[in-house]
Amino acid sequence: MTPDEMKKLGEKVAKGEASPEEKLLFLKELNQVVEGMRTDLANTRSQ
Amino acid sequence: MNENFKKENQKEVGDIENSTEKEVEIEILKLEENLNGLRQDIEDIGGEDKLQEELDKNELLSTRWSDRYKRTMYLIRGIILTLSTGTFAAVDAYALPKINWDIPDDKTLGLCLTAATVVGVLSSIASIKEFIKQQKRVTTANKILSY
Repeated sequence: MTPDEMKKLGEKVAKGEASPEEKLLFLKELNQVVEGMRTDLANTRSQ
Repeated sequence: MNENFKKENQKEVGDIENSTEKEVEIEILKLEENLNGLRQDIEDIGGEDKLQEELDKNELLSTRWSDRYKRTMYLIRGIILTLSTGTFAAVDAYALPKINWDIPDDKTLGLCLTAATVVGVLSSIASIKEFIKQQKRVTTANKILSY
């Protein structure tokens, strides 16, 4: 999912217009982003 | 029969909805856990200011590599241009005194040689100036990164 698509979906979820499936998809993507941030942070520290 | 099928279908749809809701709840819990972990990671680094500092350093590190690459390219270009300009200058030194400036063809040749040499000298100076500029950037980045 591109950042733009993610933003749009996030707005939909925030407005309460997203279906449960869309909510789930958004949460999964968001979790991946946060996990990626943690990994990047850990890699930066180990460098 | 039809009523039974309808009821069963509704139950299945309900089950699917319930399972999606359940998955959403699980993802929310996971997200909460991840965000807490991220907060902890940031605190372990030394807070948001330190994180920003690390990110700046990281950016500087990647810029330094690109500056190093540009620096090397300008150096190579500078060397090539200086060498070709030197060759032109040598040709000029040999050919220009022999040119009869009253003959149009000779005059054109003389002007072309002079113009090529001047362009070469200017390009060499520009390349060397750029090389020095990039070298300064790399040196500054090295100093900051060594802190």
